Amino acid sequence: MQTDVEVKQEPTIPLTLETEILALCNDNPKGVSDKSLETAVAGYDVKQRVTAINRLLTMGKLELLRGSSGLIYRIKTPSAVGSISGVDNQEKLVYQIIESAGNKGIWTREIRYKCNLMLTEVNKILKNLESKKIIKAVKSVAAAKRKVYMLFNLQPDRSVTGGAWYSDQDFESEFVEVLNQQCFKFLQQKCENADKDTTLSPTATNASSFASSEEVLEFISKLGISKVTLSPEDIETILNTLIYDGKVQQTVVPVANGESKKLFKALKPLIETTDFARTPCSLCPVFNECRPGGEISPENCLYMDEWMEY
Amino acid sequence: MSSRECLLAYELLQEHYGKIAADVASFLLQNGWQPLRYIALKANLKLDQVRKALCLLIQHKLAKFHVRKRKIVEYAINIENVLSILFHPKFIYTVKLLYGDAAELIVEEALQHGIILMSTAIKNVADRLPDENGSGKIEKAFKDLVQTHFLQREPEVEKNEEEEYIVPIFTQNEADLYRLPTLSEESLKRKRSDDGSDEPKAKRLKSEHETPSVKDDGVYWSVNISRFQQYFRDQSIVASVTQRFGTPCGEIVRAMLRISEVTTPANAQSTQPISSAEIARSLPQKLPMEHVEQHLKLLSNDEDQIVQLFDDSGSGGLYVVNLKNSALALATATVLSYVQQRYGSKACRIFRLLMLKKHLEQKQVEEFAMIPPKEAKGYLYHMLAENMVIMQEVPRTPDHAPARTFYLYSVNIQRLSRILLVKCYKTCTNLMTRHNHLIKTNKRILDKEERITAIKVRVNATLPDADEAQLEEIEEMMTSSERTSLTKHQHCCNKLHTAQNQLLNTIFVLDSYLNALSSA
Repeated sequence: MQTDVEVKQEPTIPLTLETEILALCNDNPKGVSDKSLETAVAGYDVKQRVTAINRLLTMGKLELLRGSSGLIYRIKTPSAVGSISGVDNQEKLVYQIIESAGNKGIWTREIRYKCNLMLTEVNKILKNLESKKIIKAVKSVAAAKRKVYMLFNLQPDRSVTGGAWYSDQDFESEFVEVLNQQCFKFLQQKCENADKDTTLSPTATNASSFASSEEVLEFISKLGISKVTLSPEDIETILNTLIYDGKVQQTVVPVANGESKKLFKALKPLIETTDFARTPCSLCPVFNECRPGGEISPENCLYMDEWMEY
Repeated sequence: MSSRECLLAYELLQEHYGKIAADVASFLLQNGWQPLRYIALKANLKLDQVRKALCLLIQHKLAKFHVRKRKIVEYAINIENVLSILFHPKFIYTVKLLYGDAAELIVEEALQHGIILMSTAIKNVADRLPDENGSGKIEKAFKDLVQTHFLQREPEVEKNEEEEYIVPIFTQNEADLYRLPTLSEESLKRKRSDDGSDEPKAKRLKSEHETPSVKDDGVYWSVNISRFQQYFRDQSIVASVTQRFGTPCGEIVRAMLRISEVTTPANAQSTQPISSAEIARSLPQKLPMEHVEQHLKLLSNDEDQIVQLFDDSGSGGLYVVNLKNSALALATATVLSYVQQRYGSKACRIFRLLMLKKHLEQKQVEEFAMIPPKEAKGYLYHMLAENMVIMQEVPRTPDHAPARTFYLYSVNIQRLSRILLVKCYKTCTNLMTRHNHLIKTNKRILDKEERITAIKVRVNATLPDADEAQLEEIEEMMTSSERTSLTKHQHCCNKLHTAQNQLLNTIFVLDSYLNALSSA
């Protein structure tokens, strides 16, 4: 009987304890550290406090974080509480881990390390959560076979999807090519306009044939060929590829507010096609095997025959 | 001195001087300095033949000799001069453009004879030119060529009384290099023996000749190949500057190079410093002074550094043309153009990326070049397989495990220009082989054509009023199908010759770059 009374008595105390803890957490939305909780509910012993906290965690009203100085308890917003109704402990654990990864996503192996569950169990849980549309798998661009998981309604970060150049994890090469050509045409046009204006002195002509990345960005956005809005850094990567094509050169000039800005200019090639490339031998795939009097030789060269036709 | 060069030299010598000279040359190329008897022994040739071949080669400055251990005379081949046989047509054409027909014939004579007396040259050219007062013009042309250093004087034989010397010793002052002898009208008409050979005949001294001595006896002239090379180099620099920066800048660079034409030695790294005032003065179309200065400033700000600011002193600043940088820029452009033609523009982008960034991993290459990863891998490995691109392994662990090793790709322009030069030589050999093969296969038709032309000439000479029917009959000896194959043959030969000439440009650019590197 007495044990009954004792048992009966216990729920009331933890209940009040729980409400107290909840109230405390409500007051400090950023979170309450373990230590401050201890001092606030000094009347109850450790075991009761721990049980109360566990219950709150299970119910999803509270969440546990690891701060720099120990554990921190934070009140959970109601929406998040609602979304995970009908799940059990392990799933909740996994869910919390995924949530903590934010919009970069987290890999299955890392989930396993963090929650110390078996691989098969983790997979089952992940499938479960996915079917409930709580989390989603996003294919990573960096490692094509890996999948990272993140919350369903989060936008994947740029580093995962690759940014403007990737659409659905596919590298958009035609898009890049089109942008490449358009930027080059713009710079070429600018150069020609500068040359046509004969009243300017050479230095002024040279200066007016340069364009900054912002100008190019403006031009491209006006053209409207891009579905995605591009940033100046995107344009700079495109202009860098033009530098690697040898069509554009870059200089850095200091600007009024003490910083330096990059300017780009269309460049004409230093020589026309080299004459060696006009002979069939330069393009011949069996050049190294060719020997006078051999199986492959200049005398019976098919490429030369074709070349001499016209 | 690669094996490719030796093969090309063999082909050239066989074409121009015959099989024996070519065999002697190839033996010497393979074995270095060799005495006369040894050559005859090992190359299975008669002593006389070898002697004559060596005579020929030395006359044309293709071979040289020296004495070893005071008793043995050894011979070797001068490979650069052999390969510059390829450039002879270009020399003649250049001189024709610059100084006219008389000068063209003078240079042609000089190239044919190797070394030549001034009087001989003038006399031969006068014979060939139909002009009556030609000799004055020819002499003037000769003087022009010498003054601009296209012809140079050969070293003279030292006259010594002792019998000790086996080979002639040559002496020459710097000042004498371009000094003209005085020549009178009479001397041009006198006959003289062609005393061009300085070849030692075993251990005998040269015997004195009895012919009347001419004022310029013993003063021989030859074509100054390095001067021509300098000229071609200047042309290519001006052409590339005009292509990239426009005509005014091209003119400025041309003026700068013209001013320093005769003052700069052949293998200097850069020209003499020239002030912008002097440049502005020597421009053919006058530009305002500020424009000239601005153009110079723009040129010197370019990243290739073809024109550099030497110093700020002097009116408007002193500028130099940096020949080493321009050789590098041209060679790089050649290599890039080759890569673009052979592998495609995307591969060329990867190539230039590696050139700019020095060392990159494969992943970084894909990222910077904005090319789909699979394609980028394909291009990169294709270029690696053909040695355009070098890979360096940087291990992280002592056991070089592939998963834990960095693989860095890079590009070395010097190595590549050497590879490309050897390829050019091989291509040249291939073109010549194909040409010979064509001539052999169409020998029958060519012979027939020759016979018909000979008959026509004979008929026209003997019967000036040959009637139509006879001429037609001669024409009909050649069937129409034979005629078409003849035209086709000529077309093919033309194409091969043109390709060969164009190839020379590339060879020249790469060769001058490698020479600039080795002389630095």
